[in-house]
Amino acid sequence: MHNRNHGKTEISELQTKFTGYLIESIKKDFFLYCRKKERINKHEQPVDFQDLPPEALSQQHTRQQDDPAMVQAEIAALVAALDRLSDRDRRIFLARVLEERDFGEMGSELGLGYQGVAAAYRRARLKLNKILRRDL
Amino acid sequence: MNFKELLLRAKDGDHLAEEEIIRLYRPLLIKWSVKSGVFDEDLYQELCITTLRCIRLFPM
Repeated sequence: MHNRNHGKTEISELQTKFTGYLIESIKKDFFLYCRKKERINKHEQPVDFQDLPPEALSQQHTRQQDDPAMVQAEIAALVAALDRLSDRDRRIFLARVLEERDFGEMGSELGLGYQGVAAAYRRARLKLNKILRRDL
Repeated sequence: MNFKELLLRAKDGDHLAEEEIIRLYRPLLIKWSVKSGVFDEDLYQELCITTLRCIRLFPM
């Protein structure tokens, strides 16, 4: 194949156009790929221990040796906080966190739209956060 | 064979022609597969797919 653009042969106009077209697409896909990678890195925990910074490892270690009494107290605080949510909010929150259910599916059960359930879940989470922060 | 024939054959689904075009543009693909100084195999793969898509979609 001797149609590389080395200036020795006349390059067809078509090839130049195709190259330009290809470069634009490659650029676009390159940036899309980078964005995707960034998003994944933001949400995913590094699984490889070599990827973890040393502080994270030691933190995990102390976490395992946590005082059982502290864990009990945390659970008690969470249960108390859950008690203060309304019945519906608690149901949405637990279904989402424990059963990992879909908002749309929950919505059709409760007679709400996807957005409605998502908003209720967000409110419940913010409320829990506020209560727990005040208690601790 | 000139580029036009090659492109037309690749558009018709000739795998050899597709391969030839990818070989032709390999330096370009490799250049864009380097991310923060490291050659990214997955990215290279993605860009090969992009090239195949471009062959199909390029208006002639």
